[in-house]
Amino acid sequence: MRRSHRARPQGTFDLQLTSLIDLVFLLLTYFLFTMALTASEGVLPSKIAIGEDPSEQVEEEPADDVMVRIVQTGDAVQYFVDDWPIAGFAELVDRLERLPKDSLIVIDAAPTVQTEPVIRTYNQCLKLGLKRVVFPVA
Amino acid sequence: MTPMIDMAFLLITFFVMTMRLTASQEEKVTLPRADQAQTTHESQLAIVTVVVDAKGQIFTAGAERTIDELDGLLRDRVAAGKEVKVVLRADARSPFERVRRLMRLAAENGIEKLSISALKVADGAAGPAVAPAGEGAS
Repeated sequence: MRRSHRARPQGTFDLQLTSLIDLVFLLLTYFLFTMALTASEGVLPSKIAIGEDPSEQVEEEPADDVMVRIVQTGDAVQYFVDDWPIAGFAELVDRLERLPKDSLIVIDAAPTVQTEPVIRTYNQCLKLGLKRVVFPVA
Repeated sequence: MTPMIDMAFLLITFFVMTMRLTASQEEKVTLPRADQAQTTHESQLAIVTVVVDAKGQIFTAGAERTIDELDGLLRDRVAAGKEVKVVLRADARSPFERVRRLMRLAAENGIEKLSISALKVADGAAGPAVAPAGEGAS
């Protein structure tokens, strides 16, 4: 049996893209609305020190030991550097800036302190190039 | 219209490639913000993510754990032979004492790699993202 082929007229190729484009834009809109606009997550590496004197846990001989103590009284956060009270975080930053870069910073937080001021202090140390930061955990 | 469709497909491809396929953490925590946070790619490590919520409750793999349960879990992971890394996702308002306890737990299990998660923010934008605790003056 001969199959009949209907000749398609040349130059009349018609591709219906409307539904495809609708779908594409629907997907695009979906992704745009669901994309995370918040900051992405990263990590701050930490060195753990256990013991009464954290400086004993560090292998290399520290150039300078600095104890940053954080105490929370009610809503107020108080910072101490080597037991000297600091007026606020800005002054703490100023003190840290003046330290040699190889100083050993021991961040000791009182039990009532929230995580935020501790991480803020640790972040500031890293920012200032003070890489030797430890948390005494004993 | 072809370039527009090309562009739309390109954008969709981008969103599909960058979307997170993993289930989001059920425990909602407000991470502290840090401009020194780094992205890590350490797939060869057995990573244990520990979430500490604002109340100090501990979660791993979506389930609440006690310190003893977590201790057992870490011991098992270490015993499995692979190098273990602990990632602490602590809420900015969580008591740091809890974070410190987890650091100690990791150290007691011989885990040397430990990181604290933070939201990566632009340089200088680190600081309280939650209702800030005041800074006391000396």
